[in-house]
Amino acid sequence: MEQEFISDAETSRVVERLRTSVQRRFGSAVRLENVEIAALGGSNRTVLFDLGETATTRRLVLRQETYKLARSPFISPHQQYRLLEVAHEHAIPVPEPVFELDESDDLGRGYVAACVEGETMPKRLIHDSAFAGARRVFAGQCGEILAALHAIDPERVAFLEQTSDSRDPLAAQLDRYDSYGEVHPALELGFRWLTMNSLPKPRRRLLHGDFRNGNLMVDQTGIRAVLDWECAHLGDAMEDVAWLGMRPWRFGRVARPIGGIGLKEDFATAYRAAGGTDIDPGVVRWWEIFGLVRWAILNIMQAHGHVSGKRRSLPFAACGRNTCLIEYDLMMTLNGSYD
Amino acid sequence: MSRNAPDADEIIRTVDEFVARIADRTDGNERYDALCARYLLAVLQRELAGGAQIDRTEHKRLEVFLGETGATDDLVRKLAVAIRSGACDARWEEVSALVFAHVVDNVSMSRPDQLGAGDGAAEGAEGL
Repeated sequence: MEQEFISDAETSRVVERLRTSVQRRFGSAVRLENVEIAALGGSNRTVLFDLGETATTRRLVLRQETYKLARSPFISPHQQYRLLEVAHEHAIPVPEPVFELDESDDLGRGYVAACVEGETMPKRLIHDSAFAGARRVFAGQCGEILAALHAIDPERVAFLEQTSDSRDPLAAQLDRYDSYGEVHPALELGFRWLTMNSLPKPRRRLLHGDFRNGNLMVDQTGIRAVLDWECAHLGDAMEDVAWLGMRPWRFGRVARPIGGIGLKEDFATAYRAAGGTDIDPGVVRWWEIFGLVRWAILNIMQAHGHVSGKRRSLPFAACGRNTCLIEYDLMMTLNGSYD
Repeated sequence: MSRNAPDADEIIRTVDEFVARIADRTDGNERYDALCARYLLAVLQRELAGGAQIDRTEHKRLEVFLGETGATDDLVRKLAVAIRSGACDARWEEVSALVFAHVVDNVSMSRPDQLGAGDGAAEGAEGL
Protein backbone atom coordinates (compact mmCIF):
# COMPACT_ATOMS: atom_id res chain seq x y z
CA MET A 1 0.00 0.00 0.00
CA GLU A 2 3.03 2.23 0.13
CA GLN A 3 3.17 5.14 -2.21
CA GLU A 4 6.48 5.07 -3.98
CA PHE A 5 7.96 7.69 -6.24
CA ILE A 6 10.44 6.15 -8.65
CA SER A 7 12.50 8.44 -10.77
CA ASP A 8 13.49 7.48 -14.32
CA ALA A 9 17.11 7.34 -13.17
CA GLU A 10 16.20 4.96 -10.35
CA THR A 11 14.20 2.80 -12.75
CA SER A 12 17.15 2.61 -15.16
CA ARG A 13 19.49 1.75 -12.31
CA VAL A 14 17.27 -1.10 -11.06
CA VAL A 15 16.74 -2.45 -14.58
CA GLU A 16 20.47 -2.42 -15.41
CA ARG A 17 21.42 -4.16 -12.17
CA LEU A 18 18.65 -6.69 -12.68
CA ARG A 19 19.93 -7.37 -16.22
CA THR A 20 23.42 -8.00 -14.85
CA SER A 21 21.93 -10.13 -12.10
CA VAL A 22 20.01 -12.47 -14.43
CA GLN A 23 22.82 -12.64 -17.02
CA ARG A 24 25.25 -13.64 -14.28
CA ARG A 25 22.98 -16.59 -13.45
CA PHE A 26 21.48 -17.58 -16.78
CA GLY A 27 24.16 -16.54 -19.26
CA SER A 28 24.92 -13.37 -21.18
CA ALA A 29 22.54 -14.32 -23.97
CA VAL A 30 19.37 -13.95 -21.87
CA ARG A 31 17.20 -10.94 -22.52
CA LEU A 32 15.44 -8.74 -19.98
CA GLU A 33 12.26 -7.42 -21.55
CA ASN A 34 8.91 -5.82 -20.74
CA VAL A 35 10.04 -4.50 -17.38
CA GLU A 36 7.23 -3.07 -15.30
CA ILE A 37 7.73 -1.55 -11.86
CA ALA A 38 4.58 -1.96 -9.82
CA ALA A 39 4.66 0.58 -7.03
CA LEU A 40 2.21 -1.06 -4.65
CA GLY A 41 3.69 -2.78 -1.60
CA GLY A 42 3.98 -2.35 2.16
CA SER A 43 7.76 -2.36 2.29
CA ASN A 44 8.63 -4.06 -0.97
CA ARG A 45 9.12 -3.04 -4.55
CA THR A 46 7.71 -5.42 -7.12
CA VAL A 47 9.38 -5.50 -10.54
CA LEU A 48 7.83 -7.66 -13.26
CA PHE A 49 9.95 -8.69 -16.23
CA ASP A 50 10.31 -11.22 -19.03
CA LEU A 51 13.42 -13.37 -19.02
CA GLY A 52 14.04 -14.32 -22.63
CA GLU A 53 16.17 -17.33 -23.41
CA THR A 54 16.84 -18.85 -26.83
CA ALA A 55 13.40 -20.27 -27.47
CA THR A 56 11.41 -19.48 -24.37
CA THR A 57 10.36 -16.51 -22.33
CA ARG A 58 9.45 -16.60 -18.66
CA ARG A 59 7.58 -13.84 -16.82
CA LEU A 60 9.30 -13.32 -13.47
CA VAL A 61 8.91 -11.01 -10.53
CA LEU A 62 11.55 -9.36 -8.37
CA ARG A 63 10.50 -8.66 -4.79
CA GLN A 64 12.94 -6.13 -3.41
CA GLU A 65 12.85 -4.83 0.15
CA THR A 66 12.75 -1.04 0.10
CA TYR A 67 12.22 -0.22 3.74
CA LYS A 68 13.03 -1.94 7.02
CA LEU A 69 10.67 -1.06 9.85
CA ALA A 70 11.73 -0.83 13.45
CA ARG A 71 9.96 -3.66 15.34
CA SER A 72 8.92 -4.99 11.96
CA PRO A 73 6.13 -7.56 11.99
CA PHE A 74 7.56 -8.90 8.72
CA ILE A 75 10.13 -11.64 8.28
CA SER A 76 13.21 -11.02 6.12
CA PRO A 77 13.23 -11.56 2.33
CA HIS A 78 15.68 -14.42 2.91
CA GLN A 79 13.20 -16.16 5.20
CA GLN A 80 10.37 -15.50 2.75
CA TYR A 81 12.43 -17.09 -0.02
CA ARG A 82 13.15 -20.14 2.14
CA LEU A 83 9.42 -20.47 2.84
CA LEU A 84 8.59 -20.32 -0.86
CA GLU A 85 11.09 -23.14 -1.41
CA VAL A 86 9.57 -25.27 1.33
CA ALA A 87 5.98 -24.55 0.28
CA HIS A 88 6.76 -25.23 -3.38
CA GLU A 89 8.42 -28.50 -2.42
CA HIS A 90 5.19 -29.49 -0.62
CA ALA A 91 3.05 -28.70 -3.68
CA ILE A 92 1.43 -25.70 -2.08
CA PRO A 93 0.58 -23.24 -4.86
CA VAL A 94 3.15 -20.44 -4.60
CA PRO A 95 5.17 -18.44 -7.11
CA GLU A 96 8.04 -20.80 -7.93
CA PRO A 97 11.21 -19.41 -6.33
CA VAL A 98 13.93 -18.75 -8.94
CA PHE A 99 16.86 -17.11 -7.14
CA GLU A 100 17.69 -14.95 -4.17
CA LEU A 101 19.58 -11.67 -4.48
CA ASP A 102 23.08 -11.59 -3.08
CA GLU A 103 25.52 -8.78 -2.37
CA SER A 104 27.03 -8.73 -5.84
CA ASP A 105 23.60 -7.93 -7.31
CA ASP A 106 23.68 -4.59 -5.49
CA LEU A 107 19.90 -4.59 -5.35
CA GLY A 108 19.52 -4.92 -1.59
CA ARG A 109 17.54 -7.76 -0.05
CA GLY A 110 15.02 -9.67 -2.12
CA TYR A 111 14.38 -12.53 -4.48
CA VAL A 112 13.07 -13.47 -7.89
CA ALA A 113 10.15 -15.83 -8.36
CA ALA A 114 7.84 -16.89 -11.18
CA CYS A 115 5.07 -14.43 -11.98
CA VAL A 116 1.66 -16.04 -11.54
CA GLU A 117 -1.06 -14.50 -13.67
CA GLY A 118 -4.48 -13.87 -12.20
CA GLU A 119 -6.41 -11.48 -10.00
CA THR A 120 -5.96 -10.52 -6.35
CA MET A 121 -8.42 -7.63 -6.02
CA PRO A 122 -11.07 -8.89 -3.57
CA LYS A 123 -13.97 -6.90 -4.98
CA ARG A 124 -13.36 -8.23 -8.49
CA LEU A 125 -13.11 -11.77 -7.16
CA ILE A 126 -16.34 -11.31 -5.23
CA HIS A 127 -18.43 -9.60 -7.92
CA ASP A 128 -16.98 -10.21 -11.40
CA SER A 129 -18.89 -12.87 -13.34
CA ALA A 130 -15.58 -14.07 -14.83
CA PHE A 131 -14.73 -15.56 -11.43
CA ALA A 132 -18.02 -17.40 -10.84
CA GLY A 133 -16.29 -20.77 -11.24
CA ALA A 134 -13.44 -19.77 -8.93
CA ARG A 135 -15.92 -18.63 -6.30
CA ARG A 136 -17.58 -22.05 -6.21
CA VAL A 137 -14.31 -23.76 -5.22
CA PHE A 138 -12.73 -20.91 -3.23
CA ALA A 139 -13.62 -21.96 0.34
CA GLY A 140 -12.75 -25.60 -0.32
CA GLN A 141 -9.41 -24.71 -1.89
CA CYS A 142 -8.61 -22.46 1.07
CA GLY A 143 -9.27 -25.46 3.33
CA GLU A 144 -7.08 -27.79 1.28
CA ILE A 145 -4.20 -25.32 1.04
CA LEU A 146 -4.22 -24.42 4.74
CA ALA A 147 -4.40 -28.10 5.73
CA ALA A 148 -1.36 -28.84 3.52
CA LEU A 149 0.52 -25.87 4.95
CA HIS A 150 -0.30 -26.83 8.54
CA ALA A 151 0.90 -30.39 7.87
CA ILE A 152 4.46 -29.28 7.04
CA ASP A 153 6.96 -30.38 9.66
CA PRO A 154 7.79 -27.21 11.64
CA GLU A 155 11.39 -28.46 11.85
CA ARG A 156 11.69 -27.62 8.15
CA VAL A 157 11.14 -23.97 9.00
CA ALA A 158 12.84 -23.88 12.37
CA PHE A 159 14.35 -20.51 11.41
CA LEU A 160 10.94 -19.02 12.23
CA GLU A 161 11.24 -20.07 15.88
CA GLN A 162 12.91 -16.81 16.85
CA THR A 163 10.36 -14.40 15.40
CA SER A 164 8.42 -12.59 18.09
CA ASP A 165 5.09 -13.85 16.74
CA SER A 166 6.31 -17.44 17.07
CA ARG A 167 7.60 -16.95 20.60
CA ASP A 168 4.57 -15.20 22.10
CA PRO A 169 2.00 -13.80 19.65
CA LEU A 170 0.09 -11.77 22.22
CA ALA A 171 3.23 -10.23 23.70
CA ALA A 172 4.43 -9.43 20.16
CA GLN A 173 1.26 -7.44 19.44
CA LEU A 174 1.40 -5.63 22.77
CA ASP A 175 5.04 -4.70 22.23
CA ARG A 176 4.29 -3.24 18.79
CA TYR A 177 1.19 -1.43 20.01
CA ASP A 178 3.10 0.15 22.90
CA SER A 179 5.91 1.21 20.57
CA TYR A 180 3.58 3.53 18.63
CA GLY A 181 2.63 5.48 21.76
CA GLU A 182 -1.06 5.67 20.91
CA VAL A 183 -3.90 5.05 23.36
CA HIS A 184 -6.74 2.81 22.20
CA PRO A 185 -9.12 1.72 24.96
CA ALA A 186 -10.79 -0.80 22.63
CA LEU A 187 -7.49 -2.55 22.03
CA GLU A 188 -6.81 -2.51 25.76
CA LEU A 189 -10.13 -4.30 26.25
CA GLY A 190 -9.17 -6.77 23.54
CA PHE A 191 -5.81 -7.44 25.17
CA ARG A 192 -7.44 -7.79 28.58
CA TRP A 193 -10.03 -10.26 27.27
CA LEU A 194 -7.37 -12.30 25.49
CA THR A 195 -5.26 -12.41 28.67
CA MET A 196 -8.17 -13.40 30.89
CA ASN A 197 -9.31 -16.13 28.46
CA SER A 198 -5.93 -17.50 27.46
CA LEU A 199 -5.78 -20.81 25.60
CA PRO A 200 -3.75 -23.90 26.43
CA LYS A 201 -0.45 -24.11 24.57
CA PRO A 202 -1.21 -25.42 21.06
CA ARG A 203 0.68 -27.82 18.86
CA ARG A 204 2.91 -25.62 16.72
CA ARG A 205 2.38 -25.44 12.99
CA LEU A 206 3.74 -23.39 10.13
CA LEU A 207 1.32 -20.48 9.66
CA HIS A 208 1.09 -18.18 6.68
CA GLY A 209 0.00 -15.36 8.98
CA ASP A 210 -1.92 -13.36 6.36
CA PHE A 211 -3.89 -15.97 4.44
CA ARG A 212 -6.98 -14.19 3.13
CA ASN A 213 -8.79 -12.72 0.16
CA GLY A 214 -6.35 -10.14 -1.20
CA ASN A 215 -3.23 -12.26 -0.79
CA LEU A 216 -4.41 -15.07 -3.06
CA MET A 217 -3.79 -15.03 -6.81
CA VAL A 218 -6.95 -16.38 -8.41
CA ASP A 219 -7.85 -17.12 -12.01
CA GLN A 220 -11.15 -18.31 -13.47
CA THR A 221 -10.54 -21.86 -12.27
CA GLY A 222 -9.57 -21.06 -8.68
CA ILE A 223 -6.60 -20.24 -6.49
CA ARG A 224 -3.33 -20.24 -8.43
CA ALA A 225 -0.89 -18.99 -5.78
CA VAL A 226 -0.59 -17.96 -2.15
CA LEU A 227 1.30 -14.65 -1.99
CA ASP A 228 2.76 -12.37 0.69
CA TRP A 229 4.53 -14.60 3.16
CA GLU A 230 5.96 -11.75 5.23
CA CYS A 231 3.87 -12.58 8.29
CA ALA A 232 4.65 -16.32 8.42
CA HIS A 233 5.45 -17.75 11.84
CA LEU A 234 4.87 -20.82 13.99
CA GLY A 235 1.77 -21.19 16.09
CA ASP A 236 -1.77 -22.46 16.48
CA ALA A 237 -3.34 -23.58 13.18
CA MET A 238 -6.57 -21.92 14.32
CA GLU A 239 -4.84 -18.53 14.07
CA ASP A 240 -4.74 -18.91 10.26
CA VAL A 241 -8.28 -20.32 10.20
CA ALA A 242 -9.70 -17.44 12.24
CA TRP A 243 -7.81 -14.78 10.22
CA LEU A 244 -9.21 -16.11 6.94
CA GLY A 245 -12.79 -15.71 8.18
CA MET A 246 -12.47 -12.25 9.73
CA ARG A 247 -14.95 -9.55 8.77
CA PRO A 248 -12.45 -7.16 7.20
CA TRP A 249 -11.94 -9.66 4.35
CA ARG A 250 -15.66 -10.15 3.70
CA PHE A 251 -15.87 -6.78 1.96
CA GLY A 252 -19.50 -6.25 2.87
CA ARG A 253 -20.64 -9.83 2.21
CA VAL A 254 -21.15 -10.79 5.82
CA ALA A 255 -22.98 -14.05 5.09
CA ARG A 256 -19.94 -15.33 3.18
CA PRO A 257 -17.28 -15.53 5.89
CA ILE A 258 -14.54 -16.97 3.69
CA GLY A 259 -13.35 -13.84 1.95
CA GLY A 260 -16.86 -12.61 1.15
CA ILE A 261 -17.09 -15.60 -1.18
CA GLY A 262 -17.47 -18.94 0.60
CA LEU A 263 -18.99 -20.61 3.63
CA LYS A 264 -17.23 -21.76 6.80
CA GLU A 265 -18.81 -25.21 6.46
CA ASP A 266 -17.26 -25.75 3.03
CA PHE A 267 -13.91 -24.57 4.34
CA ALA A 268 -14.07 -26.83 7.41
CA THR A 269 -15.12 -29.90 5.40
CA ALA A 270 -12.23 -29.46 2.96
CA TYR A 271 -9.78 -28.64 5.75
CA ARG A 272 -10.62 -31.84 7.64
CA ALA A 273 -10.71 -33.97 4.49
CA ALA A 274 -7.21 -32.76 3.63
CA GLY A 275 -5.86 -33.73 7.04
CA GLY A 276 -6.58 -30.63 9.08
CA THR A 277 -7.82 -30.86 12.64
CA ASP A 278 -11.37 -30.33 13.83
CA ILE A 279 -12.24 -26.68 14.20
CA ASP A 280 -13.16 -25.63 17.72
CA PRO A 281 -15.38 -22.51 17.47
CA GLY A 282 -14.27 -21.33 20.93
CA VAL A 283 -10.62 -21.43 19.94
CA VAL A 284 -11.36 -19.77 16.62
CA ARG A 285 -13.22 -16.98 18.44
CA TRP A 286 -10.15 -16.31 20.62
CA TRP A 287 -8.02 -16.02 17.48
CA GLU A 288 -10.61 -13.81 15.77
CA ILE A 289 -10.43 -11.36 18.64
CA PHE A 290 -6.66 -11.63 18.53
CA GLY A 291 -6.74 -11.10 14.75
CA LEU A 292 -8.84 -7.96 14.99
CA VAL A 293 -6.46 -6.55 17.61
CA ARG A 294 -3.53 -7.45 15.38
CA TRP A 295 -5.12 -5.95 12.25
CA ALA A 296 -5.86 -2.73 14.15
CA ILE A 297 -2.21 -2.54 15.25
CA LEU A 298 -1.00 -3.10 11.68
CA ASN A 299 -3.15 -0.14 10.63
CA ILE A 300 -1.75 1.94 13.49
CA MET A 301 1.73 0.96 12.29
CA GLN A 302 1.01 2.26 8.79
CA ALA A 303 -0.41 5.53 10.12
CA HIS A 304 2.62 5.84 12.41
CA GLY A 305 4.89 5.46 9.38
CA HIS A 306 3.02 8.33 7.74
CA VAL A 307 2.76 10.68 10.71
CA SER A 308 6.38 10.10 11.75
CA GLY A 309 7.44 11.15 8.26
CA LYS A 310 9.29 7.91 7.59
CA ARG A 311 6.85 6.65 4.96
CA ARG A 312 4.53 9.43 3.87
CA SER A 313 1.52 7.97 2.09
CA LEU A 314 -2.15 8.81 1.62
CA PRO A 315 -3.25 5.18 2.06
CA PHE A 316 -1.24 4.96 5.28
CA ALA A 317 -2.92 8.12 6.55
CA ALA A 318 -6.27 6.53 5.71
CA CYS A 319 -5.23 3.39 7.62
CA GLY A 320 -4.99 5.48 10.79
CA ARG A 321 -8.54 6.72 10.48
CA ASN A 322 -9.74 3.22 9.65
CA THR A 323 -8.46 1.79 12.91
CA CYS A 324 -11.75 2.65 14.64
CA LEU A 325 -13.62 0.54 12.07
CA ILE A 326 -11.59 -2.48 13.10
CA GLU A 327 -12.19 -1.58 16.75
CA TYR A 328 -15.91 -1.49 15.96
CA ASP A 329 -15.76 -5.07 14.66
CA LEU A 330 -13.66 -6.00 17.69
CA MET A 331 -16.22 -4.57 20.13
CA MET A 332 -19.12 -6.21 18.27
CA THR A 333 -17.28 -9.54 18.43
CA LEU A 334 -16.39 -9.11 22.10
CA ASN A 335 -19.97 -8.28 23.09
CA GLY A 336 -21.37 -11.22 21.11
CA SER A 337 -23.17 -9.20 18.44
CA TYR A 338 -21.21 -10.89 15.66
CA ASP A 339 -20.97 -14.60 14.93
CA MET B 1 -14.25 36.80 13.76
CA SER B 2 -15.70 36.10 10.36
CA ARG B 3 -13.38 35.36 7.49
CA ASN B 4 -13.65 35.80 3.79
CA ALA B 5 -15.57 33.28 1.73
CA PRO B 6 -15.17 30.44 1.03
CA ASP B 7 -15.58 29.05 4.54
CA ALA B 8 -13.77 25.90 5.71
CA ASP B 9 -16.52 23.56 4.56
CA GLU B 10 -16.58 25.15 1.12
CA ILE B 11 -12.77 24.92 0.85
CA ILE B 12 -12.94 21.20 1.57
CA ARG B 13 -15.68 20.75 -1.02
CA THR B 14 -13.65 22.68 -3.58
CA VAL B 15 -10.53 20.57 -3.06
CA ASP B 16 -12.64 17.41 -3.07
CA GLU B 17 -14.15 18.31 -6.44
CA PHE B 18 -10.64 18.70 -7.84
CA VAL B 19 -9.45 15.39 -6.37
CA ALA B 20 -12.58 13.66 -7.69
CA ARG B 21 -11.64 14.77 -11.21
CA ILE B 22 -8.15 13.32 -10.72
CA ALA B 23 -9.66 10.04 -9.50
CA ASP B 24 -11.90 9.87 -12.55
CA ARG B 25 -9.15 10.29 -15.10
CA THR B 26 -6.43 8.13 -13.55
CA ASP B 27 -6.04 4.52 -12.57
CA GLY B 28 -3.79 2.32 -10.50
CA ASN B 29 -1.90 3.88 -7.63
CA GLU B 30 -2.78 7.45 -8.50
CA ARG B 31 -6.50 6.72 -8.51
CA TYR B 32 -6.15 4.86 -5.22
CA ASP B 33 -4.30 7.82 -3.69
CA ALA B 34 -7.01 10.16 -4.94
CA LEU B 35 -9.73 7.98 -3.38
CA CYS B 36 -7.82 7.98 -0.08
CA ALA B 37 -7.51 11.77 -0.30
CA ARG B 38 -11.28 12.10 -0.81
CA TYR B 39 -11.88 9.80 2.15
CA LEU B 40 -9.61 11.91 4.38
CA LEU B 41 -11.26 15.13 3.26
CA ALA B 42 -14.66 13.67 4.15
CA VAL B 43 -13.35 12.76 7.62
CA LEU B 44 -12.09 16.32 8.06
CA GLN B 45 -15.42 17.76 6.96
CA ARG B 46 -17.31 15.66 9.51
CA GLU B 47 -14.86 16.57 12.26
CA LEU B 48 -15.28 20.26 11.61
CA ALA B 49 -19.05 19.84 11.76
CA GLY B 50 -19.42 17.53 14.75
CA GLY B 51 -16.06 16.85 16.36
CA ALA B 52 -16.31 19.42 19.14
CA GLN B 53 -19.68 18.11 20.33
CA ILE B 54 -18.39 14.54 20.33
CA ASP B 55 -15.34 15.60 22.35
CA ARG B 56 -17.55 17.28 24.99
CA THR B 57 -19.79 14.23 25.30
CA GLU B 58 -16.83 11.89 25.56
CA HIS B 59 -15.19 14.05 28.21
CA LYS B 60 -18.34 13.93 30.32
CA ARG B 61 -18.64 10.14 29.95
CA LEU B 62 -15.03 9.65 31.04
CA GLU B 63 -15.42 11.90 34.07
CA VAL B 64 -18.48 9.99 35.21
CA PHE B 65 -16.85 6.58 34.74
CA LEU B 66 -13.51 7.45 36.30
CA GLY B 67 -14.93 9.76 38.98
CA GLU B 68 -12.36 12.45 38.31
CA THR B 69 -11.77 15.47 36.12
CA GLY B 70 -8.96 16.39 33.77
CA ALA B 71 -8.09 16.85 30.13
CA THR B 72 -9.76 14.33 27.83
CA ASP B 73 -6.45 12.85 26.64
CA ASP B 74 -5.36 12.31 30.25
CA LEU B 75 -8.65 10.64 31.12
CA VAL B 76 -8.44 8.32 28.10
CA ARG B 77 -4.92 7.39 29.15
CA LYS B 78 -6.10 6.66 32.70
CA LEU B 79 -8.90 4.52 31.33
CA ALA B 80 -6.42 2.53 29.22
CA VAL B 81 -4.13 1.99 32.20
CA ALA B 82 -7.07 0.91 34.36
CA ILE B 83 -8.28 -1.61 31.77
CA ARG B 84 -4.81 -3.10 31.36
CA SER B 85 -4.23 -3.39 35.10
CA GLY B 86 -7.49 -5.28 35.60
CA ALA B 87 -8.99 -2.48 37.67
CA CYS B 88 -12.06 -2.47 35.40
CA ASP B 89 -12.61 -6.24 35.39
CA ALA B 90 -15.42 -6.02 37.91
CA ARG B 91 -17.12 -3.35 35.79
CA TRP B 92 -16.63 -5.18 32.47
CA GLU B 93 -20.05 -4.43 30.99
CA GLU B 94 -19.91 -0.82 32.06
CA VAL B 95 -16.41 -0.25 30.69
CA SER B 96 -17.31 -2.11 27.48
CA ALA B 97 -20.28 0.21 26.96
CA LEU B 98 -18.05 3.24 27.58
CA VAL B 99 -15.40 2.06 25.10
CA PHE B 100 -18.03 1.08 22.56
CA ALA B 101 -19.49 4.60 22.70
CA HIS B 102 -15.97 5.99 22.14
CA VAL B 103 -15.46 3.71 19.13
CA VAL B 104 -18.87 4.55 17.67
CA ASP B 105 -18.02 8.26 17.96
CA ASN B 106 -14.81 7.66 16.01
CA VAL B 107 -16.60 5.61 13.37
CA SER B 108 -19.17 8.38 13.02
CA MET B 109 -16.28 10.60 11.94
CA SER B 110 -14.50 8.05 9.70
CA ARG B 111 -17.28 6.00 8.12
CA PRO B 112 -20.74 6.80 9.51
CA ASP B 113 -22.26 4.65 6.76
CA GLN B 114 -20.79 1.60 8.48
CA LEU B 115 -22.55 2.08 11.82
CA GLY B 116 -25.01 -0.72 12.34
CA ALA B 117 -24.20 -2.10 8.93
CA GLY B 118 -23.04 -5.27 10.65
CA ASP B 119 -21.31 -6.34 7.52
CA GLY B 120 -17.63 -5.97 7.91
CA ALA B 121 -16.92 -2.37 8.69
CA ALA B 122 -13.23 -2.90 9.09
CA GLU B 123 -11.88 -3.25 5.62
CA GLY B 124 -9.10 -0.81 6.33
CA ALA B 125 -7.71 1.30 3.53
CA GLU B 126 -7.99 -1.63 1.17
CA GLY B 127 -11.73 -1.40 1.35
CA LEU B 128 -11.94 2.15 0.07
